[in-house]
Amino acid sequence: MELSVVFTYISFITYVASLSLIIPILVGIIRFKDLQSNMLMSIFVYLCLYAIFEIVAWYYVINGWQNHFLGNTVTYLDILFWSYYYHNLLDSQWFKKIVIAFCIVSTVIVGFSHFAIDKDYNRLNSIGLSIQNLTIISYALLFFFQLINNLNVRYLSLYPHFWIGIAVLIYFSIVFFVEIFAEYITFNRDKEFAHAYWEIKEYLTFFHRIILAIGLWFSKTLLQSNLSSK
Amino acid sequence: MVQQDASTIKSIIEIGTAAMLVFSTTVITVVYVLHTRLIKQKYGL
Repeated sequence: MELSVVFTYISFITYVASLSLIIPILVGIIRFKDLQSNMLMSIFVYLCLYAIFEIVAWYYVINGWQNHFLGNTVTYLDILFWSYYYHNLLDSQWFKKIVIAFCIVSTVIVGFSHFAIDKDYNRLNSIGLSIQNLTIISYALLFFFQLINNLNVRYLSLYPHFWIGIAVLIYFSIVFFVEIFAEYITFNRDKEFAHAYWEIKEYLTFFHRIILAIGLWFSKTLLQSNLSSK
Repeated sequence: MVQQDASTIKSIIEIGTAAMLVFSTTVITVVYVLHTRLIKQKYGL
């Protein structure tokens, strides 16, 4: 998001990754009727909010302004949204309590890292991003454990939340080591080095959104006979 | 901020990213395979 608008390979990948957000939103619009009665509607709202952030981020880039504060703000959005989503999706009361505890602890740590350690909200905060990734990875793992433990879903490949879980686990785990050094990468004078590693994040953003779109596409099957009675 | 060696950081990112790729794909595969087997046992599908 913070890279220059000059048309290079990395900027092309960045454009593609940003524009790929249109795909799950379009799928959400097509499947809108099927999203109404389940948690998938929250995914659609989250994607729309993300689109607003992307538009504002690009507006900053076009004007040559620093937009890292948006990246830091998105960290809170991600933690709060995925906590809400998995809190509603998980059945076990213990898992729900774990999600609430993780949400509070990670939000406090991220806030502390932004305002007490780094003190510069315009710098991309690696601690915040790492804590966010670990928190969301743990939610996805809890959900996968629940899937195997409860066996309420007959056909996993048709279950939208399984696809969303895949998108979440793949994106937040693979991007973890890139984001640990996000601060270093974005402020590195060696642009080749910075681009080489930021590319990984952009590719993953693209695939993350494609998999989310697949999840939203299967929203119809959630309302049919895929869920067994408990 | 402590100055860190660029090559060390490159290695950490590359090894870490590869490890996380293996981790996530393994988890997804295990969940899918295990779930399919258990659901076959439960429903005889």
